[in-house]
Amino acid sequence: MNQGILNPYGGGPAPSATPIRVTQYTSGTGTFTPLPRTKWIRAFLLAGGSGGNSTGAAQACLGGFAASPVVFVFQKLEASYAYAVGAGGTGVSGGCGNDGGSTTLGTRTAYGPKAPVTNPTGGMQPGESSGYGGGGDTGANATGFGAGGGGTNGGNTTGGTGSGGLIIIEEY
Amino acid sequence: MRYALIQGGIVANVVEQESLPTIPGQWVACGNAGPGWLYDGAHFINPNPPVAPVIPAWSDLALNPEYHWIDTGPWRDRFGIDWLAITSSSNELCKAAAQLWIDRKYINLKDARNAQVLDAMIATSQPAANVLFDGSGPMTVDKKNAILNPVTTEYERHVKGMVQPS
Repeated sequence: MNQGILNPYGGGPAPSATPIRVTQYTSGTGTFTPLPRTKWIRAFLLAGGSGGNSTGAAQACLGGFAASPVVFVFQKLEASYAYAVGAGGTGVSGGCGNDGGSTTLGTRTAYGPKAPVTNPTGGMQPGESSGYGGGGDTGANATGFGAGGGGTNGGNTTGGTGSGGLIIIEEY
Repeated sequence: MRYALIQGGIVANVVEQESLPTIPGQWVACGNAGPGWLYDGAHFINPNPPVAPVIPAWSDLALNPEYHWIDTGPWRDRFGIDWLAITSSSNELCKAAAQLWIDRKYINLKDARNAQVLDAMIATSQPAANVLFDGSGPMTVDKKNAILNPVTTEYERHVKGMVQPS
């Protein structure tokens, strides 16, 4: 039986459906315009990771946190959608890092992770890996997408910067 | 370049791209500022400004006692050649001292037993000079003070990563 591209159990594309187009954004802002024949959109949104902490006074500094991916499935009701790929939070010298930037598509948002606000004992901590990017080692920037920057200390060097977010849009 | 989306004087979001974002909203180049920072129309202000590190002082009575915990290796180094004279001695006091200090994870310089044992060595002129270890000889007040000097280094300390007091 042909069920088309619609999922009979919850709306949206069937799990086995093949997208008619896949678009990826790895930075910046702009406008996404779906194809005229697009009916459904499945969007993967990942925010930027947060920056790592730094302080010369603590015994250790926590690395930045990773962003959590969010998937939205929705019917195409608008001709275009503004998007913004959240930047990674920067590390700060002698303080807590910055939050990760949120990633948005239209009104849908994957919120950036908060920066660590406390520092533990027991050594400097690397940033948290996101599954799409590696956390930064001590004081280093994260790689890939959505991962946290590394924490650092000693002489108030700057914590690592989190890596930016990611958007993958599938049209059905 | 990083651009901040300003909403109500607060950075709502930050993106990174080469040119000013075209989607609606007040976008401002923001340097290292992040979400949650304040924007007064010209400057970004960190709501949680970096705190200047507090440098502890050796004279501080409330100084973390872990500053006075040193590893056993550096502790032995503080005795110099006399440590070999102590561990090779048949004197009961020297044997007791070695027993007290060997195989511990760290030595607390403020542990009163250390001064007690060193005072006993001074009183009994131990450890005796040993010809095998040139320069070794009995404990003195000066030696004791150097061994129990509460000022420690990062290398000596059992707990690593602490800020060096002034």
